[in-house]
Amino acid sequence: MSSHGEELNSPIPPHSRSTGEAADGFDFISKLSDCILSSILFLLPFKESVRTGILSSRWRNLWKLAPLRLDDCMYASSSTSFPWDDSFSLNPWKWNQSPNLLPLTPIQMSLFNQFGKPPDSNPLDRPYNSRIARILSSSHDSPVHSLRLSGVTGFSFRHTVSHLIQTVIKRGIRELTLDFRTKDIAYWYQPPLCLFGCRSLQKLTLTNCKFPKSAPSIFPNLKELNLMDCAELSLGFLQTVLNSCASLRGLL
Amino acid sequence: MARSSTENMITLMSSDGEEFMVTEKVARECTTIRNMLEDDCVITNIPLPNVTSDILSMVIEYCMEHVAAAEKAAAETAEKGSSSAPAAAKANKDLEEWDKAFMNVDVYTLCDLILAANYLNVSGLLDLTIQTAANLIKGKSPEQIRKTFHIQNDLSLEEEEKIRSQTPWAFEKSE
Repeated sequence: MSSHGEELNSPIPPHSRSTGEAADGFDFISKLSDCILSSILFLLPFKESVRTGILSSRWRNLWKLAPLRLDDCMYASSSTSFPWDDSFSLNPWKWNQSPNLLPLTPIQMSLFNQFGKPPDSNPLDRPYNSRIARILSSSHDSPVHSLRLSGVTGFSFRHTVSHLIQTVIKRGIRELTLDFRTKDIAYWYQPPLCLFGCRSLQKLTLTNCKFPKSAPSIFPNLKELNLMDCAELSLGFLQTVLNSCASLRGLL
Repeated sequence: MARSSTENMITLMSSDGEEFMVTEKVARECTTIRNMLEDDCVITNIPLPNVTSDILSMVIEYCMEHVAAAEKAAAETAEKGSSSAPAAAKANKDLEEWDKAFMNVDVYTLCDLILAANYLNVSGLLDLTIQTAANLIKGKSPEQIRKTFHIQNDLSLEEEEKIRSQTPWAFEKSE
């Protein structure tokens, strides 16, 4: 009956229009359903929607119900710490305990166990994995609307980046941006094959990425594809992209 | 709005017993009512026990305005064969201005309208009210948001500190 599964049963006090703020101290907005409140929060900048968690116990976890918009730049400004300072993402045991994150491969596990930190940690790497992984794990099953990863990335972080990508694909990602600016083509990143078959993906922006020679299915529902300085993109592959993206509207 | 004599009239009854006569076209703006009419086409009297008269009159006002705007646009298109882009843009802008003025309400009325738009399933009104609520939150500090909506903070200092420490980046002063 109702679009948000809301039962309307509140005693509604009489109101007058156009007085600006609430007349008395009744907290009416908190009585709205989770569904309605999370749709309100989705219209806020992500950082502001997270901040509403401090309003009251009612609001504490509401932001986690709205589709997540993840952006590593958002977390980078204050952080002088590097990823291995964070006990969460680089602790393979915790990572594996979290049902929302994919387990590390045995090779990755052994690297962690051997060195205690990634073997070729690059001080220029951004601490994005940890913060984003933490949000993903603390928000359980909330869908992911968008993910943006940027900055310089070393070899070690390809594994974690690929894990993140696989996780967000499972949670219905709509918009993905990978912006790994690096001059050295050897460092360019090749997204995992599962990305190319992602059904929920509608907008994809890739900078300094590599492409596979072929993929089993290519972006079935993509509407917008932006490629900047991407290597190993054969004309044949591009042709396949154009042929298989029935709903593609924009290509840059 | 021109009303043809053959047009069906529907009576909507609010929770406090007030009756509102509207055209079927206006009533159909509410998906909930549209579904009722489609299930039972002879229905002419619909009680809405969840909506008070002051809120229902506002919902009807919104639906009438939007139906009238759509009819005007359709009539212009039929007259000229195709709609002229500047005229359509102006009509859209006028309607946006009307919506904006319509949203000049206190937060209680806003919450009631959200509930009613959700219950009656008027998607345009739901989008409008939810966006208005978001605008009231946007750019405000937690304390200002609490004040605007009279939200009682029932968190202890320790709990508040814990929430801040879980997502410290969200609480930094933006540059």
